[in-house]
Amino acid sequence: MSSAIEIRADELTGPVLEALRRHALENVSTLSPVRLPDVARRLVEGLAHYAANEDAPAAEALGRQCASMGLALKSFFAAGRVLTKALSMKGETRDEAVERALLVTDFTGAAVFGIRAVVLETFAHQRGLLEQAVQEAANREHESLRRVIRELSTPVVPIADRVLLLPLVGAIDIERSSLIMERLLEAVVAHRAEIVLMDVTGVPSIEVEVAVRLFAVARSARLLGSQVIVVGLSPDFARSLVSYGVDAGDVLTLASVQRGLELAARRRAGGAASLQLR
Amino acid sequence: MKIDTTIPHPGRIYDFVLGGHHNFEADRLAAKKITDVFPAYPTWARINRWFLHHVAERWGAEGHARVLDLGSGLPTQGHFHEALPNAEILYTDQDPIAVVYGQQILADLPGKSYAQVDLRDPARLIEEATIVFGDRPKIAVGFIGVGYFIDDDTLAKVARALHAWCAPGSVMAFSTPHETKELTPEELKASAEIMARFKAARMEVFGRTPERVAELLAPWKVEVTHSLQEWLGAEGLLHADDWQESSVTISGLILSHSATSA
Repeated sequence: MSSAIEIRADELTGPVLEALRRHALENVSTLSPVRLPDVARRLVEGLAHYAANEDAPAAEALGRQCASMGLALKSFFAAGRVLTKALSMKGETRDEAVERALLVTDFTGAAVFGIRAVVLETFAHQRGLLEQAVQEAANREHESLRRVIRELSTPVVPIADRVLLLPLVGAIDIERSSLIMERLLEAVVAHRAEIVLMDVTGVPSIEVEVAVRLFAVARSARLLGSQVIVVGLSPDFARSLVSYGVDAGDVLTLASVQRGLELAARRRAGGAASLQLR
Repeated sequence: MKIDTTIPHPGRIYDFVLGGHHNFEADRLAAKKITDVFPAYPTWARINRWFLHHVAERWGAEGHARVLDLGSGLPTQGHFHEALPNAEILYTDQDPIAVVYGQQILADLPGKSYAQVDLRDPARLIEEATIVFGDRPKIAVGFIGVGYFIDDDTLAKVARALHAWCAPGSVMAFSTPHETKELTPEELKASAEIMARFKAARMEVFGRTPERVAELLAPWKVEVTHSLQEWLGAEGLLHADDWQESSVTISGLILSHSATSA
């Protein structure tokens, strides 16, 4: 069914645009004033289509389009009032005026459904994205802190020419032992280290699997031409290794860092010499 | 920068006054404290954002294909990537939430990226920008709605570093709030209260006249300066109260690299 009411775009677009401009600040900031002529044109064309076809879904879709551009309900209603006034004034009788006003009311009513849907969807979408972003940012921050802690927990310090010190403090789990292997082997290559003192004085206890891996690290370093000397083994640590049956193999162990340094000096100098510490 | 959504963030306060929903309770409360003494703030925020739209369209028409945007916040609708779909755009901000949010939005858009950088550290800024644009690129620098949060020395340092890094033909857009007249003692008091509210929301504002901005941004060369209302032809859009309740205006400057030939 169609209405016989004629919609003159050339007469209506201007007043609608003026109404939209007066309410420009009500809109979402995405709707710049330079885009308002386009919105006014769409609204008038939408009304003409509705007058000809009573196509409510199309009016609702138009509401969605305009809301997606940033048109606020308040601005839309202002445009609706202008359309109602302009169109009803063209009615030659009271009944005609009422009919014209009702046409605009029906059109705006359908469009409002579209606007309202977009407003609600936008709210949910933006809040959802923001929550996701907060979670992801927190995860990144957490991972970054973990990385820093891991780096700090595994310092490899060059203490003399081709001699590295790896002081280990605190509990060592499988993950950390992997990091130790990675960092140590990188440092051995980077410093062309011949001797590495792995100081375990600060390691309170150790799981058998981790102990096995640490000795494996020492053997891997050997393949790169570096000898790892484990220093600072506590009696408890040593007893644990024996009770677990961990075989240190050819990895040299010494009681203290000092003993390790003395040995490193002798090895580096080929005799009884002291290291030139950095 | 730590993630704490109970502390107001300038980007999210700005989003709230622009009508967005990317904000938390702390941001909305901080915004309210500002608008209690400065009701025109949402108006100014909108006009600032519309200036960005205007600049984006201008740069599109001028054929600028590379945009470095500073202090981007949340690159929601209407930002540079919408007006310049074919341009290579790097957004930057120090806020990790804005960065992740931006990366989500831009994930499927070729040539659009977002880096976490504090623009007050020009060496880092240029390091990130060089990864995207290479060395000595001809670029357009978006410095809108953020330069007034930076002190004079830092602003000058950033401007000089960017100028030294980019090529002749590069351009910059900048916006700056400033007084339009000599203030009475009452107005000075009101202005100080407004500034205090901004500062309490971790948004200390450095108001500067266009002339002062021109000095600080040198050797960038000012090409055009207008108030944002003039840029947008917006004077007829707004209620008189929006203008009269404050003696402040915002000016928008377009600048070019000093070695650009006329």
